[in-house]
Amino acid sequence: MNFKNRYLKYFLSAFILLGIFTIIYYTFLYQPKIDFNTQVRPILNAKCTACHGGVKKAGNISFIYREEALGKGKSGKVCIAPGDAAHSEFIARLTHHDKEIRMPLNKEKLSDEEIKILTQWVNEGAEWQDHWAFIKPQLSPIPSADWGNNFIDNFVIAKADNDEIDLKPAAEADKVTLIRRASLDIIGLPPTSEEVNQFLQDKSANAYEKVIDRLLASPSYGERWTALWLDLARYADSKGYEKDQARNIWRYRDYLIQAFNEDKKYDQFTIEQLAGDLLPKPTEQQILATAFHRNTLNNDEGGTEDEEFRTAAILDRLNTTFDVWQGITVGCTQCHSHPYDPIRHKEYYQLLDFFNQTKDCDNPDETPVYFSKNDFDLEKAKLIASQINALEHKQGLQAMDIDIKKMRRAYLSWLKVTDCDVSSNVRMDEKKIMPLKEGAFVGFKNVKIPESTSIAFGYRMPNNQECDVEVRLDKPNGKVVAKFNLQSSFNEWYFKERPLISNISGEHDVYFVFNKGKNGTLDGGFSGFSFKPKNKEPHLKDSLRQELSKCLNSEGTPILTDLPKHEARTTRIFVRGSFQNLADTVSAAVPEVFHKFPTNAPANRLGLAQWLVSKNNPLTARVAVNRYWEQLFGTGLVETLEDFGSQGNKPTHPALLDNLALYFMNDCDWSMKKLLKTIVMSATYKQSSIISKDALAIDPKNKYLLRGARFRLTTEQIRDQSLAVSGLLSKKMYGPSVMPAQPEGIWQTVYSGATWTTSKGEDAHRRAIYTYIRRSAPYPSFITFDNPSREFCVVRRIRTNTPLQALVTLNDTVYNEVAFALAKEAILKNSTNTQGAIAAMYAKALHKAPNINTLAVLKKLYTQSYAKYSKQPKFTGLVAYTPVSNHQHKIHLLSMAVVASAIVNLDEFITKE
Amino acid sequence: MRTTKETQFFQEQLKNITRRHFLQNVSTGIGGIALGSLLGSCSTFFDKKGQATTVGSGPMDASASQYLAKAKRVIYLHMAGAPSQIELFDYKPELYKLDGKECPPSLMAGKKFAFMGAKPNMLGPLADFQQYGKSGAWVSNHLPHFSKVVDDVCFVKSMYTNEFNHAPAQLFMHTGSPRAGRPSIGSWVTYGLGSENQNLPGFIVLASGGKNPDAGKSIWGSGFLPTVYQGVQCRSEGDPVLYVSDPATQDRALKGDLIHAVNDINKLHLEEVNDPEIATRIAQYEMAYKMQMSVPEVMDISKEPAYIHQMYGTEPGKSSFANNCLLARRLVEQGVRFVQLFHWGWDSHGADNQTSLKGGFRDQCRDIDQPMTALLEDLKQRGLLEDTLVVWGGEFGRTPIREIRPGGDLKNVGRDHNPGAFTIWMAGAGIKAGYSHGETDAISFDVVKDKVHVHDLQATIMHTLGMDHEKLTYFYQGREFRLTDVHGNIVKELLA
Repeated sequence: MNFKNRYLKYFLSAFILLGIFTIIYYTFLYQPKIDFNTQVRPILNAKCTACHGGVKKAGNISFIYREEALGKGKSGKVCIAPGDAAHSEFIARLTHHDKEIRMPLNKEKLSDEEIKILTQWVNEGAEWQDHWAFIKPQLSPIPSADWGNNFIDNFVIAKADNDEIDLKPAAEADKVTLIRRASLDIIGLPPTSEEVNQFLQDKSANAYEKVIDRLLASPSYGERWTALWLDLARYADSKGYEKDQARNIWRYRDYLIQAFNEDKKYDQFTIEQLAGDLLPKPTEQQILATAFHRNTLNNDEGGTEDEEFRTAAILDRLNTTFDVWQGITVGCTQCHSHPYDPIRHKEYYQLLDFFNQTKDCDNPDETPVYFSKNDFDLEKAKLIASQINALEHKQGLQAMDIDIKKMRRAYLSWLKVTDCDVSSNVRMDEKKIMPLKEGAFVGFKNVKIPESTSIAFGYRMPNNQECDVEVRLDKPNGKVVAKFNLQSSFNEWYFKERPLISNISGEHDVYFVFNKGKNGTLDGGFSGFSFKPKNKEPHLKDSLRQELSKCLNSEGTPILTDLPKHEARTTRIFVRGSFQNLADTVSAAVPEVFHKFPTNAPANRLGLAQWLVSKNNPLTARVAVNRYWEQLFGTGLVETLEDFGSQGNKPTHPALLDNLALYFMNDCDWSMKKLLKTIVMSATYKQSSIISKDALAIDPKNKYLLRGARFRLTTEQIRDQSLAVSGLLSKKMYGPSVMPAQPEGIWQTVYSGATWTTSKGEDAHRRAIYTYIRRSAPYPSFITFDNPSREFCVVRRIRTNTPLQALVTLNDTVYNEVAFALAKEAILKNSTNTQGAIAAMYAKALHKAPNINTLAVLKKLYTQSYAKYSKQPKFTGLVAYTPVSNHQHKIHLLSMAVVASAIVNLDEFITKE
Repeated sequence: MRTTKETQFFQEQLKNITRRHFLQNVSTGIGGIALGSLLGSCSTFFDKKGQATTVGSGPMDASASQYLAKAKRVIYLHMAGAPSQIELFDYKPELYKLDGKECPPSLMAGKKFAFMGAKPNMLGPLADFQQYGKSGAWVSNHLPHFSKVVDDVCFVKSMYTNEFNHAPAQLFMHTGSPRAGRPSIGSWVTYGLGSENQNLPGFIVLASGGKNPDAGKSIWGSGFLPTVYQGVQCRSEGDPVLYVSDPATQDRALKGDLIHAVNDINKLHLEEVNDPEIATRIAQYEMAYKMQMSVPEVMDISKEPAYIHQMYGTEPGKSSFANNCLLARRLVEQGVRFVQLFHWGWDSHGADNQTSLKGGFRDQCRDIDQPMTALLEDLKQRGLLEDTLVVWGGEFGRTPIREIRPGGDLKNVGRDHNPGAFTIWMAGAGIKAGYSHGETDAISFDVVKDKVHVHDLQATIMHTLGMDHEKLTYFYQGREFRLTDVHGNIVKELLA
């Protein structure tokens, strides 16, 4: 045999063998490394953590943290030995022959594939990864695409290509649909006919962009996005619980409108709401912004323990902060470590410490509150004062040197404690004082006392406490003219009247001196006093004085203010979440799984806010862009807006979510308007929402975004749109909440005299965000359309479709008014042509002509109605119709109103297409 | 169809599946019908994550229970303000003797009171008691009618709760949590079982006593469940259901034409844009029209025969507990799943005559005695009591101590809130009749035997409806929620 040949033969054999081995290796043996987040975590979450998680650590084993999973269980055996599956009890238990020992206990055995993955993962070192949402957004290169306007579209196409979805993007929607969609999305209102015509006629390349820029600059923009934020802020005009008394907090709503309109950067917007009061030299707006967290409930029910409800409020503040900015629920860690996500029980209380330092404490008077200059109508007060002076034949006031305090002293019989001039050993708050020591006093100089026989005193005392008060004249140890023994008022504001020991009148200094009662302590608040005149003043002056007092008094807006350092509260862990069962003391810190607290940030709410908007925060920007996405497309890129944690849905387009989040922080520098513009300029947004048969079969839920979004409008949009197209909508912005028509008998709250007084004039037709929301009896038509009752932060409204909603738009007063307004205008403009009038109403509502079939149905409805009204004269008496008002005209109007009502009930009207 | 569904479900019960799985399973069977006929609801339905998907089966379609149920529906009579157990059912002979004696400080130690001052006295029962029926149940002289039906009733004298203020305690009773924002029991039940009548809401609330309950609408709210499951308040004055009346310028016939036109155009639009949500809307408008017809009809008690009015003491057109009891019977007869009555005015502190145990309290007793007795008798004679569960009770009990307040004695006689002990009763489907469960101490201050917590009661109610309170859950904000939080044990002794 030839050596050479033989050598070659060996060589060839070896080569062939190597080839065969390589093929075998790559076919059967080679395993790419296991990825924890996509392969292991889903198995752990589905099959293991319910028993071996943050709540139940059965057998002392948990799979939330790596170090716990590497430990020993009750059995004494090592759970996971990295690199050594053979010695890991975790793996052994999966295949154990004894069903009593095999895991998951009493459940089906894991599949062979699952066991293989876990085994390989342990052998590869059992490396842990944080859940995707706890890792900072990663910038992905923009994939190439032959369709679209900006990077959003590239990611959309890439996702569909990658998943081999056999659908093409839908065509661009027609111009009418586009302008209606953009208007409803950006300003919450439909376009006017002029705006539609202008857009239709504008053939320039950037016609659409011009529309978007106009909408973003509109003052209505702020109102639309405020509607969304009010759900997050759990905004309401009442305090909740049994009494559910009014709360004066609408200035916060107005702050939001202004903030959105001036495009306040999202980071600044965040800081102001969470900690505006702690900024250096805060502006009025920054202080009012902190009312965000004063929207928590107050319990004014008699006999409640304030500390219990103060605690409930601060827990809610913490939970809400994480719901709104981090999209994760920390609420469950109030009682125990998080069952699925790596947040510990203790860490919850460290976070709570940030919120535990504010002054508010479930007081019925809502202190601390902020008095804005705008709360007082000084100009009007001066006018009234001069009228009173004229009646009293006194000289007119020197307008320039009058301030609120002086005005009160001069003209009001009820003097507030905060108007006092001297005090000793008392703590003064916005509305009251607390005596701190025996002999504490407050004094008022030069009080004009009418001839009086008694004095009334406003106070508040907690249960089982007592305090004596002496009223002394001219000096703190002067003559005693009245004495009060004050006992429990069940923590509510009470008035007590006591006779004066001797008749007094004229100008005196008045002092109130506080002493301990017989069995009691020195505790409680004192709000003010009034000498009761012996002879009643004439009626005219009474009503003037009442009006004057309205101008000079204000409730103030509840805000956040921290306690002074020396009064700081200690925060302790609540055992199993109960505030009465306290464990270790903790101090403010953020959970370990997150980025570090900025080193230069203060350890208070301001620091926490800065930490939230730090570019290292993995969630803030993602959660914000996802919220915008959901508002525009109906479903978030992460569908569970409220849960980015490991139990929530994964993003459908992770790379797009991350790039958008980074774009929002960096390119937009947190500008919400810029972000919004980028999204609505995308081709993805502009697609037609008509669903092809293929699309319905392949992607019924539009996960791949290969068509435009189509979903029912919110209540706010439906109501505002109806009022707008009928011409009834008031353009008035800001101010106290209004009470548009609602059915009788909605407000029947126990122990409360409050009544719903239907607003008149344009206030009956303001935008929905100005409607008064009382928590125990919210505006009923809003609730029917899925609005929350604002007791808690609601991150996502679940859209429903119910018969009760149909009843609202068919029968509610406001929609009936809308129908008549639409009908009247159409008749005026088309006096001789019924068909034209019907088409005009349709066009007013939907900005286009009805098609032949639709028009035929509406005409038939008109004819049917006309026939029915002709036979029933009782209805014609109910309408007035100008300019001509004969019987036929009235029947015409009534019938047209029926047609108008049908139009505002059409699916295409209450849906964004 | 119900029988088929029941049979089908009975086979499934061993699998312990949830309603959600159940609906998915049956929807293949009954799916097409609703869409085709537009009669049933084919509306949006919610999957586990609360996302809307349109399937053949609607959220309110009746479905069978998780396991075989005794009760098909519930009438819950809530006495808002918390009636005194000591003057009604919990007979305490010792307490008469202690009347007027100073309350020993040991009794007060560690207790929370809403209003109580420093040194109160004991207050003997302001009622006479007697045993009635074969069961020998103790009932006071304030409920002469009710004493005749005690053999149909199961008393639970050992109830206790965590809350001692009205609003939180009422929320706790109805939602399992003292803070607002959780779904109420009626919402859970309709979420679990749907409704048997698609022309009426599945969960209806009726209030009397001049006020809504202290905690307001949150005690019949749907919380995080879809709003379709929230209680719909029906009223004896004004619109029986909000927005159910036509505007003054329309009548039923005109409204019929109007809805027809809306649906015709919506059908045209559906063909154009293919959005299944439009089909749902068409069905919902159809249903809205039927509700406009059926709600006023069922709410109109004037056509009931005279003997029925006599039995209940009803006067058509008035807002009263009696009228609401009769309405409750009419509603369950029509297949409404959960009827919740609230009767306000039981907060007998003794601050004035209205809240005096010698004044207003007795009027309240008169208001409820005849109607609630009539309700039980009427349900029984119609065979409805067999599968209707009736529950009666307040949100907590009252103290054996006379309430005094610092800074002024109360002129009238009253008792403060007592979360430690109260009495409720149940009757009907699945409940042991003629039985009394649990005991309080000699003065009805604390429970000493067979304690029943609010969550236990809730678990038991769910059980009679064939639902496992631990399995009827809803996924929200990252975890499964349920009515009974993480507590609750079925009280087996109460079951027939």
